[in-house]
Amino acid sequence: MPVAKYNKTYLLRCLGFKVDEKELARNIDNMGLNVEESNEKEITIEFQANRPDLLSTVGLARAIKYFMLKSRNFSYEVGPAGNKDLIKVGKHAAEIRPYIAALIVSCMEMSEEQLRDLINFTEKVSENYGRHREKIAMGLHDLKNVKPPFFYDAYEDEEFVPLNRNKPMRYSEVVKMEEKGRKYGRLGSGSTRYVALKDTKGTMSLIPVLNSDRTKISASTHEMLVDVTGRSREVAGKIVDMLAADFIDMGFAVRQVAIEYEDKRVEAPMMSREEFEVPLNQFYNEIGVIIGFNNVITLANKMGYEAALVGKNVMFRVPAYRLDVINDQDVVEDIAVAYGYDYIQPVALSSTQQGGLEANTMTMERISSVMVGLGFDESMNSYLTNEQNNFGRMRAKEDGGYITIENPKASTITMLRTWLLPSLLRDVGISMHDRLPIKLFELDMSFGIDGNLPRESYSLAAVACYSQANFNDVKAVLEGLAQRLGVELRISKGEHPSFIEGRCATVEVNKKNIGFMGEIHPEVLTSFGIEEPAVGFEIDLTGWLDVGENEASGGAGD
Amino acid sequence: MLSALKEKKRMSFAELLEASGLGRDEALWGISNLEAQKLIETKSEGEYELKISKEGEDYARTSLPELSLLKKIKGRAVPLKELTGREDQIGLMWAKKKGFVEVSGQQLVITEAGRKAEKSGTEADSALRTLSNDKGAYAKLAGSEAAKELEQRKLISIKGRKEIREVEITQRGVLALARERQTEEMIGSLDRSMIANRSWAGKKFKPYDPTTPVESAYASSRHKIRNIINEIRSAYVGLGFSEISGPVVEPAFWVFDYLFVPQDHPARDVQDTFFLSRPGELPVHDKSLEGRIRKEHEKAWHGEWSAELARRAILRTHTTSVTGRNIYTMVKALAEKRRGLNPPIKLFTVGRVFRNENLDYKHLADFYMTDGIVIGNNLTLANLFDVLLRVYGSMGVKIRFKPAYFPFVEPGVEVHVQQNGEWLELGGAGIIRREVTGVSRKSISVLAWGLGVERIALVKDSSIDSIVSMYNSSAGWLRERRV
Repeated sequence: MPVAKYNKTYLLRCLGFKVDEKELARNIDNMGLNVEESNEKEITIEFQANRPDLLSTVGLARAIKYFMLKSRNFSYEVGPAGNKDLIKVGKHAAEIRPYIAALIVSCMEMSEEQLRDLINFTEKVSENYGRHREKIAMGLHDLKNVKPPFFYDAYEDEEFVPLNRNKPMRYSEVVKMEEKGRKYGRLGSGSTRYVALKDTKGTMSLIPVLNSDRTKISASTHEMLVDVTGRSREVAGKIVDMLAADFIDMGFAVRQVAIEYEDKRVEAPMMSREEFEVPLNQFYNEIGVIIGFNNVITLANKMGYEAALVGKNVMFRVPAYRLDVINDQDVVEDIAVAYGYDYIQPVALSSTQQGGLEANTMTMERISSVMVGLGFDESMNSYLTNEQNNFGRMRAKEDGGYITIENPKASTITMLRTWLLPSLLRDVGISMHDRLPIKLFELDMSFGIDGNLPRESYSLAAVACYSQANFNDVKAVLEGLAQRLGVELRISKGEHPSFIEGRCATVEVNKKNIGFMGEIHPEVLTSFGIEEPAVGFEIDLTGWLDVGENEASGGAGD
Repeated sequence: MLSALKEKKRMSFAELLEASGLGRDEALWGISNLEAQKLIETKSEGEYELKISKEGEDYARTSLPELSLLKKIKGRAVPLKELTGREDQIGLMWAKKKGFVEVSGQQLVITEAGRKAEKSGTEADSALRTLSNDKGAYAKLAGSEAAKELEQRKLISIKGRKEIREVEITQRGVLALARERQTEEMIGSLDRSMIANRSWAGKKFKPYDPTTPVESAYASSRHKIRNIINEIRSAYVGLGFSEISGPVVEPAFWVFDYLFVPQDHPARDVQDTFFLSRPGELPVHDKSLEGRIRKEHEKAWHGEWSAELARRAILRTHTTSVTGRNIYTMVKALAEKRRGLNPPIKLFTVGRVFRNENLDYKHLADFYMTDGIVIGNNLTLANLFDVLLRVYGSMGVKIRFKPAYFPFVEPGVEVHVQQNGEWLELGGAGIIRREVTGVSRKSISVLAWGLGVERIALVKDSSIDSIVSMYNSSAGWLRERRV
């Protein structure tokens, strides 16, 4: 979960009332946020990823105020757009980053603290919620040196003076040479154009990379344009609503900006508040506690909702800055949080279901207990491996019928194992300093491909390593196992590159070949660092002994 | 064996075997026994490797802890509670054992033997110093009390056993033999014929020394993780849950899309999830389900939902894909009022899950997870809490609940467990969203939760220090685990 740091003094100033440290921490905890750390200066909070509105100190303070019932002001009003508050969207923007929303803040008098928090907030939202500016990017512009209207489009390469630079650079240079250019510049590749916001004087921002120096904001900024761009009109619109609420809480005036697309004209921010009607008994039905009407209204207010009774339903108005409320289930959760998880009394279910293990599990437990009885320790190994371990060190040929991984971070992982013996031999190899005999078994999954579908099956493998370990020893083990399981094995001459020629056999059950056994080839032993002879076997358990394969992927519900 | 030595007094090991009629192991056991009683002496040869443990090296530089302790107390009477350090404790133990000190009241008092030892040291101490300077000196020290003590204290270890070349009866042995004669034929090992003809009756059995060291037998056993998995399984079954399982290799659909995880969610990033190149894609058979999921995603997440992304083959990142598949089939079966279904239906699964990690001492790419669900009518958050208390309770941990966000549940719950006075997150839970189940407001609901198996192990067993160490499968590690 994401973690954010807040300046304590600023948070307390935003709250506007006195509260002692413990009381504050307790309330934050009850809101469902975890206080990770709290020191003199800062408070670190782990918060839920779907609540970007809590990433700003102003937004967090607002939520705390509601939760502690210190605020009942639910109205966030914005002024209408003036004639010049207009962004014209060009036709090329649609190819790369189709949507823009914006707002204008005026009557500003920002403290350094507020400025820092604002910049920090927009960075974080773009990075986390905005998926590294892919989904959402934001820009802040001082309007002092700007001449509207504004233009938003994808343009050919041209020049502007980027933030904190003193000479013009071409878009293409910024993308190649600036740090942020390299990090974000590739977004929207596939087109040779660059997305930018301009006024009549030129470029204000190369989106989503870098703003111009001309529109740089500072604590002395009095009027500011905030643009939010992305691939979804709804999301960009909601983010602007969220920002507007913050500016209003900071005591500034916010007015709309008109956005003129080729085919239609819209305004932002809309401060739209969705409404949901929830039957009163639904809280009992979903949370399991009886909550009276008055109580529901208070609990709703604690979470920032306006609520009222409409017949037997409660009507909720979702705050404009909330992006996470999709439908009434989310409202019910908020009521449960406000009620307090600690206060919800557990209610037992009545059920007559017997419960039990899968047949596969029980069979495998049976086999494992026999293997332990035969003196073998159980080993558990990774399903992930590489060709060298799975084939090369085993002197086995790659047959292509195996599952490969496209994007491993670790260089030692390239595929899913097709058998278990390599894992066990590796275990024996790293045990060479331990007392002999070493006897290990593993009963777990191996993987292959049938047609285009993955095959997931269970195998049993065992290795015994000691001086004079020989073919008859492993044959005795396998026959002992078969006898205990009540199956008849047929062991006949076979060849396998991992075993010594002439000391290898195939194992059959019901005329079906299920695996190999024998003395491990000395070259294989050496490749795993094994210094004494070893014998072993591997058998596929599918199709006999009640062990089924995992259902082929995608097959559920057929 | 003593009798065999009586005539010749000194013989080679081979001669002794022949003369005594004993097997090799029996004879070796007897020799060590007799030698310990100083009834015989042996001469040995052969190769061995002497190792001095880290602790041994430390003591060689200073002195054995009992001597350090004697120096520290300087003949004074010292209150016991002043001796708190690890080395003090070890020193105290040995000093007591060797009679260097006595405890009177809560005071430690040095004895006469202690004074002597403080002045002139002990044989073990000087032997350790000698060996630390020159490992070859072991040839002379082998078999001495001092060497035996050091080996017993694990300060030195000898690998590769010496071969006994020659055995000679001592004067004491001759006397003992004479005494033995007086007690007449005592029985050595009991055998088949003695039992059959009761020839043991009226005779005595030769007593053995129970303190003679032996090499302990290894007990083979199940793997630590498997034991924990089985504990979890039996906890679930005890609560009336039935076990289910499902594919490891899945289309992203069942791991993410069906569970309402948006297609641009960070968990779906190549940084976190293993995507497969063969097979690259897997089918999602139910077209109408695909259509419904597309609608839900596009409505809630405001972007185009790609069927192609949903078909990408991946390794499951959680076992919620297994419970998810069962939610799908069970909800369908319940809606069709199929016979034999008696909700609430309680299911669980335990299986491997995968994260694309750089492997190191802290990170594994595959580990175990368990998921559980209850499917029924009008199940509540209060029901979920009850189930979670029972499930976690039967695994032996104490928990509390906190609000949390996971895309596929609402309300969402984080389960925290208390450990060393701190609350740690142990797993997630919640009521499955209707966008997943596809049912209307007032019908079937699904309680769900998931948690890492290794985390349970870490909380329950303080001897395990990291997740990675649990997957050690070297023979030595496997043998040392407590069951």
